[in-house]
Amino acid sequence: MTVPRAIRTLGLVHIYRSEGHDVAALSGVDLSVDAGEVVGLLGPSGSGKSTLLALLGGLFRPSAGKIFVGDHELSALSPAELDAFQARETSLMLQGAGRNLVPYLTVRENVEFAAAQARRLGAEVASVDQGLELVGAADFADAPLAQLSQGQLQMAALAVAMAPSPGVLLADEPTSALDRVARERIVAALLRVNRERGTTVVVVTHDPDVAARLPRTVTIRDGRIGGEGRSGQEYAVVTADGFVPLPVHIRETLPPGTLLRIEAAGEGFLLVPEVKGEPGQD
Amino acid sequence: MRAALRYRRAQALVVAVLSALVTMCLVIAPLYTRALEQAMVGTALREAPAERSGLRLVSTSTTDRNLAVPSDDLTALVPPTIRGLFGTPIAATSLEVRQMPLLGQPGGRLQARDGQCEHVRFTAGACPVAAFEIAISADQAREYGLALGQSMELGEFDEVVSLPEAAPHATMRVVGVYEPVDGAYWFGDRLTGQAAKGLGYDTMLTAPASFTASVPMPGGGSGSWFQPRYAVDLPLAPDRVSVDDIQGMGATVARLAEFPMGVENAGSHIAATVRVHSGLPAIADEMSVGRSQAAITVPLLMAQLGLLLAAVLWLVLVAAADQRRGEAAVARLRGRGARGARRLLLTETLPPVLAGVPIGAALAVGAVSAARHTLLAFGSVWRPPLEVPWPALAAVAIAVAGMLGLAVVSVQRVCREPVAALIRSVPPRPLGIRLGVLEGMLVAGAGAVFLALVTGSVRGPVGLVAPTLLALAVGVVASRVLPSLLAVSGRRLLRSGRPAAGAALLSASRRGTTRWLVPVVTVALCITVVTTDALAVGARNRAGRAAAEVGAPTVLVLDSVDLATVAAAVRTIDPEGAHLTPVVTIGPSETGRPTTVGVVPDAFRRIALWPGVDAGALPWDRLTAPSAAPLVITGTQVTYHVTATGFRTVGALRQAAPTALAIGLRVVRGDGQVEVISWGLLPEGGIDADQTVPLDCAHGCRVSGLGIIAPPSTAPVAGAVTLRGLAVDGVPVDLGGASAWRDVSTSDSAASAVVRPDGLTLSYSNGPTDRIFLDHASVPAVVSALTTAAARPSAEGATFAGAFVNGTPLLLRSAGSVAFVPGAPASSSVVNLDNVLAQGWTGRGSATLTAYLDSDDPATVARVRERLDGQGIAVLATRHPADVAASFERSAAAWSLQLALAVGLLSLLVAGVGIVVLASTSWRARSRDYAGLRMAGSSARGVGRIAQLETAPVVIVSGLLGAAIGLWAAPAAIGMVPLFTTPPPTFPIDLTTAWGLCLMAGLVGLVALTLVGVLTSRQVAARSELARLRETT
Repeated sequence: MTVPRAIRTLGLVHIYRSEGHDVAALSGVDLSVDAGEVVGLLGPSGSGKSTLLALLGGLFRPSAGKIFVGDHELSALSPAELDAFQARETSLMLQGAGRNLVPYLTVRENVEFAAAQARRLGAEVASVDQGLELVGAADFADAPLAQLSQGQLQMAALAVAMAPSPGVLLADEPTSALDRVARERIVAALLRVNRERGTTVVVVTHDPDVAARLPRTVTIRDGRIGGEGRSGQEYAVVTADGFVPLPVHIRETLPPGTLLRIEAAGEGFLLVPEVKGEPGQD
Repeated sequence: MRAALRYRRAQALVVAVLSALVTMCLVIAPLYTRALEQAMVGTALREAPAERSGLRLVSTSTTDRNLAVPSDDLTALVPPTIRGLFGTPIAATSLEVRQMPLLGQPGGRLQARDGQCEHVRFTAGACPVAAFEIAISADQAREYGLALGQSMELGEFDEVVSLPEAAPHATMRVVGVYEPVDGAYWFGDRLTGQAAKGLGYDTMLTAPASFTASVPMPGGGSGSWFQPRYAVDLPLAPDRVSVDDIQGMGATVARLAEFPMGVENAGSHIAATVRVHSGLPAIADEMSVGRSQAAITVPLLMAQLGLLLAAVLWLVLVAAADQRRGEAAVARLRGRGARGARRLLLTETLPPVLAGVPIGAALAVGAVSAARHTLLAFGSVWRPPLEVPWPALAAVAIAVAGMLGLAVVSVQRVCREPVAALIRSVPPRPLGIRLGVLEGMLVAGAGAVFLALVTGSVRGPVGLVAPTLLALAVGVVASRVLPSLLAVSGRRLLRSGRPAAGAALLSASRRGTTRWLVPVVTVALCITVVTTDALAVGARNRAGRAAAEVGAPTVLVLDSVDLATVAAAVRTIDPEGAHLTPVVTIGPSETGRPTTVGVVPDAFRRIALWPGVDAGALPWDRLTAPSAAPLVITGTQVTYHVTATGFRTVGALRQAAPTALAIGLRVVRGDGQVEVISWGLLPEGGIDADQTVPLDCAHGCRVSGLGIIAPPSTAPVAGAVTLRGLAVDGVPVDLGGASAWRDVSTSDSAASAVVRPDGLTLSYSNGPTDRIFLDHASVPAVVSALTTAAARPSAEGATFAGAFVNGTPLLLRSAGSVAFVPGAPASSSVVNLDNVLAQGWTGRGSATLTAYLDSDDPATVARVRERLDGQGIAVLATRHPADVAASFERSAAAWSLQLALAVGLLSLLVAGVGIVVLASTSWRARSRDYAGLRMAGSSARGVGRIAQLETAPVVIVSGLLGAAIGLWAAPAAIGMVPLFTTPPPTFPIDLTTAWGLCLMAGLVGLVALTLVGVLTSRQVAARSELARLRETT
């Protein structure tokens, strides 16, 4: 059955080539997700959150840094070990439900297809019906995919992702292009999965409503962790090399080149901008 | 698996169809080759005369009749391995005989042959059944005045018996009169024909007992005929001969002919009496050539189509694999790895591939069966009811292995991609015009092979694939270059304010399908053009060769030996020679000499067929007739006054002086015979007297010379003689003026004439020869001729020997060259017919008299036959080029080429399927693009136009490229393809491109493929609803 896994990244860097230029998608990401935790990855388009999710899913290797999922250091895995890891330990739900499904199989058959490999590798997986019940896809399990709505397809994709009873579920924009009701059902299903199976869930989302439903969010900005939210409270995160990205609303008030004086103030710290031409003035 | 197949039914169907076509192409080659071999052997055996396809064993002994092997024993000599392939043996015994007592009658043949009376028609009497009964031919009864019940004494005359007193003889009673009935039964023997021409007795049929009964022997007593000839004919039973038997049978018969009684008895006296006659070894050799031609041409033709099909199948498989990138990604995401993804994709791809194999094999069997009943229906040999030659099984195995390989490789390349690449909605494509490693190798390899072929480094029918290889190489390169050109053109059009055309070209430049479409269409059009050219060139050369070898639209072979009569008859029928002209072909009496063809130049130029030759440009005016009119005398008695002062001996007297000389007249008879007729004697002391002598010229004699004849082996003499008042049957003969006679002079002999109004004085000195003649001016000393290359002497202007004129060669001088002489052998000289009439030729049997008719209309031919018949000239046979061309069409070379038609059509079909497949695999992305255009404000009609413009230029440019390559490379390719089983002896093969047909075929193909492209594009455009924009996969 499901064994929740913790996730940890250390100085994760990923550079890819686009039209002859090197582009840094991630520029040193240190992230820890506890086993059984639900985390939302937020950030603007191109910030690197989907890249981070793909790296966590083992789709490609990072340019630098390390990724630990449970006991596995992903970069050290052989291709066969990586296949086994993807079959049993981690499930990645791609954006767009159809991309997670074999189009000519029913939902049940898709779930079985995903479960079979994990079972073959010795994993204890929940029954297909249990999986379908868990995500709420039992009602349309035997219908052809072509007859399903977008919401049902997304539920089906989630059922497939959960078929091997993975320790980690990585979902990329699971609610995009869905109406409100469908979005609610998906979020509920994700939280149910976490609640009932203990699966660690990492969700990439743009949707503030979805983010608001998640207990922890991590914002990725310019390839770095730009902040974190816990129970509605936003935090800046100190990186391993001591950098602290300012929250967006603070940064908007500080033009580039602004000098800040950091002073201890009781249990906290005070950031005091220096006025140009008058150093030392408060 | 079923769900997967159902999901992409159309695609599975296309894959299955292509798989079936690929299998069919591979399997049809060995099956068609086999059927072709069977038809070829069957046709050869059925069309060959019985004596050629059968086996005849003959035994006769000139020394001891007991050494001759009787017919039953001859049959036993046939090896058991081939005995079963022949029908019931026909035994025969015959004897050369003459009527006794000898009164100058020519000889004949007495024959007893199994079942002979069932193969003649009795006009009187019945079949001889008892010893010494005979049935004679109707001609024989008429010519020699024989009647039923009459008896005649026949004596044996052959190598053993040459004197009447030494001949065994018997009295034969005529019990029947027969007319011959032609048929295979007679094994080519002609029973009659001699008596009708007064040449001898036709075959006399008798009962076998005539050869076993005792006959009176010379000098008393009785005994047996000395030299009976035993024979057995074994007609071939084509229904029992399989195609595999022919080679072994040929070899066995050849060995039997060499050692009739086995190697161990080769030196025995009995073995020396046996002769074996059969054309089977030659037939086997011809079949071997045909088989080797078919075994190369057919697979190579099909290989081209197979290559195109394999390319399209690869295209479909790659497109199918690309469509399944998402499924591969899912499998990889679920930890199945590349192997699991491959298995998932193959589960869907392989079943239609495998399903197509038996369908393709069945199609091949059906197509070959159809070919057997149509194209190859001319003959067949025995074959098992269900014949599966091993090469066909091997072809199936190769098809399966090859297509499985393609399927695995097509899937492999997708499954090995990184998952990150697989999950992209649009697969990454190479940009620019760079070729991949495989494509580079393909281009380099194809280019190298083509260059090797056109430069002659590699020869043979493999040249047929050269244009396809070139088209493939060019197509691959063009598929890289064309998108860039389309992009440049598209941008220019956009800048020049033509957005629809610009957008269409830009769209085409970025479609992945363009890269596939270009080589497929290029290769298909190239194949279409080349196969059209191959068909046209093959047909043209078969027709051309047939025309050259027959000579005219209709050639009537005349049953006559009298050229003068024939020429006169033809002139009577067609005085102007506008439609009918006489042609005499005089064969050489020595090998190596040219055949002499006598023609009426102007008529021959117009009526004869000259394929590929501008007959009007030949120097016909140089084929001059003799300048002097011929001197023809007709009658039975000649009178003249002769005056001679006597003759004197010349030189040292080593031989006795002659006591008298004779006046000689050299004449040419209508049948070409040259004869010297002796007139009155010239005594040594001189003469001045009127003379009257008989003359055998009742039907006319053409005078070619006048001279003196001395007794043999007498001393040379010289003198002069004057002839006056020459008259034949009382009609004065004008001997002509001074120019009518040509003096003759050698180093030791001479003859000259002085012609006055009252007579002709001949001065002579005969030298060592016993006769010296003046030549009549109507007989040219040297005849101008148009010569083929094989007949032409190496030295310019040299004279050379033409046909013999009674032992003396006709002297010819080449007055011009001709590529070939219609209807004549390779080594031929064409001369004016008047020269032949003046000179004569070897005589009976050496010349073939024909009439060339410029029409093959049956009614016209029948009318001409009738009129010739009315002139007393029977037509033995008529020959038409179409009949000969039809026989060429029943050859392995022609049958192999016929396949080109199917290959050409199928290549277009396959390219059409390729276009549809490409449209169906890319329709979703294209329709999404078009939906975007509609969103931007384009009308549905405008989008439809853009869709059409996107495809049409690619198809048209690729098609033009392929057609151009085909037109350019076809001559090089077709030059290496055997058009005939044996090379034409005279007709120069013409490989000129059939521009008209090729351009038409190319145009039709181009229009058809463009239409397919445009229609499929319209279908795609019709699906460009705005909802497409929401699709993510």
